[in-house]
Amino acid sequence: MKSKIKKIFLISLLAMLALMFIYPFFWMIGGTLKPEIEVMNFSPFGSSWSLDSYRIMLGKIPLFRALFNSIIVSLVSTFSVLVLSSMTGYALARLRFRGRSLIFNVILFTMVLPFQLTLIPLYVLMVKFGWVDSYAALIIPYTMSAFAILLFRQFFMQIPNDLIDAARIDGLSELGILFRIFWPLSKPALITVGIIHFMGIWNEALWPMIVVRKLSMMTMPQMVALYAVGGQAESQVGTQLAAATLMSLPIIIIYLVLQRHFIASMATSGLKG
Amino acid sequence: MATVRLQKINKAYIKDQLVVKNFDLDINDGEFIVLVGPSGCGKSTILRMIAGLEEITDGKIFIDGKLVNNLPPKDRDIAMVFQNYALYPHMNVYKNLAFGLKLRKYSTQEIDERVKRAANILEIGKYLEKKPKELSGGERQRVALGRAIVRNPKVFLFDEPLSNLDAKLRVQMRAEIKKLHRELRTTMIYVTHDQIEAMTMGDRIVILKDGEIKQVGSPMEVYQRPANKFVGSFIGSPAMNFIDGIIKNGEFIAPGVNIDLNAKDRLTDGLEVSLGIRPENIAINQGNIEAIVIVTEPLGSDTIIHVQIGKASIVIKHPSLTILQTGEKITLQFESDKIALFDKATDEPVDI
Ligand SMILES: Nc1ncnc2c1ncn2[C@@H]1O[C@H](COP(=O)(O)OP(=O)(O)OP(=O)(O)O)[C@@H](O)[C@H]1O
Ligand SMILES: [Mg+2]
Repeated sequence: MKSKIKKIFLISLLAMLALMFIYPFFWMIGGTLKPEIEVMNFSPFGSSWSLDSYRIMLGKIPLFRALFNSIIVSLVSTFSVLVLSSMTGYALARLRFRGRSLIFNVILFTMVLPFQLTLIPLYVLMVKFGWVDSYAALIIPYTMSAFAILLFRQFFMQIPNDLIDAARIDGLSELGILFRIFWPLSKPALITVGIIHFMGIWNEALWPMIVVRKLSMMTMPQMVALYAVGGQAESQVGTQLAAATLMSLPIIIIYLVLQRHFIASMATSGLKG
Repeated sequence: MATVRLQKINKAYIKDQLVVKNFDLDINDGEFIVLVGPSGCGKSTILRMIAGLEEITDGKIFIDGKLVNNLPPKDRDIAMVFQNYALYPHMNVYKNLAFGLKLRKYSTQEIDERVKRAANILEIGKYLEKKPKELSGGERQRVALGRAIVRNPKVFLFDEPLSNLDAKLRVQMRAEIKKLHRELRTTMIYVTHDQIEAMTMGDRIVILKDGEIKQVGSPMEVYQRPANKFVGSFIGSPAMNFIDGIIKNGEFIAPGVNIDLNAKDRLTDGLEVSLGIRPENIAINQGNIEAIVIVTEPLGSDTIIHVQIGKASIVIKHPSLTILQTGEKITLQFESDKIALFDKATDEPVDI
């Protein structure tokens, strides 16, 4: 009897905590559908429903163009991080060559440098290359990730050596071993890196603001930030929330689709969020 | 079908630290050769150099008369079976077998025929759709054998393929690999640290220690005429007994031991030697060597008796069930034609 009460208590406590986390999100979605005057009310439900906030917002800014840019930038960058970082991770974990540990330490070192520190030199580079206001500036600094290299290296080191030898005898090249043997065995690492990197670059607002000024090259977070704080929303909170909702939508969809894998990979890749 | 020739092979992983030294060996076409030695003696290293998985520091390797030093593993026409199977976990058994053939651009039909044939020989036909993790250790090792035979290679390399199996399965697989060798007649190089495996499987055995060959010969040769004390103690179970002593007037003299070798003219007086005698060549309750029983281990058909002669501990394998009391005094006789002598200075055998 006692344990049952304890169980009910625990469950309701957890439910309340979950509600606390999810509430602002519901409130945001509710806010986009309510009449403007009721936006600031505590309840997410309004007296009537309309999509006016979305209509107004879309009329003011080219959000679909920004959505397109964000998708291109995030997809290309994530794909490139998966390919290039796993290649680097493979070399660091599995190949013997001069300077391997030095290279590994340099990569580790870049992880502790705050992005703010490299921001200005990187910007100067972009200007020198003539990449300002282009996809190159948005994507190329994000084609590799030290964190991803580290994760892949750790993961690859657990794969038994004999498997590589067997593959070499069977006739695979090093790249063949990586993509045809290691990749299928590293789904948890690939998914973890993929989601974490995709979320990171999708939400990145600072860097685009520095290298992009043209409206047609802006990404979602940049556009939303500009719109929300930049005066264009004319302090209509509903439309600001609508922009934010559209921005978070793709991440939510991806998360829901990959949720099962994601939780499993967090467990097996030794990363607990 | 091919010969394998290893010529003055040296290997150092770390500069100037040789783990394989001046390794010279000619392996005949169709031969089953076993490399055996204690852990860390360089067996795997040699095998991996033949496979092309490890660079050769110095020397030459020929397969089928062709120098292969600079060929990658896939072009050496060899197949290898590993201790922990090394099957691709994400492919089913069929794909595991077919993978190497597919990479070599065989037609789908040819691949199918070869996979089915190998599956037949090894009786793994009913597992073809299963993933490796759904199989037992023995079944996995059979699949690994299958992956080697579909390729129809010139040379098979085995690196302790049975070490992960339980004792019973090991005996069974041992016979199966031998049978496979009889059917295929392909050159096989087999690495093990288990001297029983070596004795039962090899046409010839190569005994290694610290990266050097200690003896090469048929199982009977290395058993009956060990080239040095190491081989004597490594081959055979329980190991050969050794007693240190000295030669005087054609007799072997040691504390508590005095054996007339009937070789007065052939043995130099004062030569320091080790006398080697196998546990099964010692008779109890006869002769004149006095010993004290330390412990007896009845094994059913045989009894292992540990005794002390002077300062030397000696093991006897007595071919029937006998229980002796600890501390009991018994007499022993060494079968005179089974005695081996090794020069203490050179570790070379001394003719009697
Ligand atoms: N990759 C390596 N780097 C450095 N030293 C190595 C490497 N591989 C093996 N060695 C060393 O080379 C020696 C021989 O190793 P090897 O693996 O050939 O022994 P082995 O006879 O196969 O032993 P085991 O029966 O334990 O498998 C050992 O001393 C080992 O420490
Ligand atoms: Mg080994």
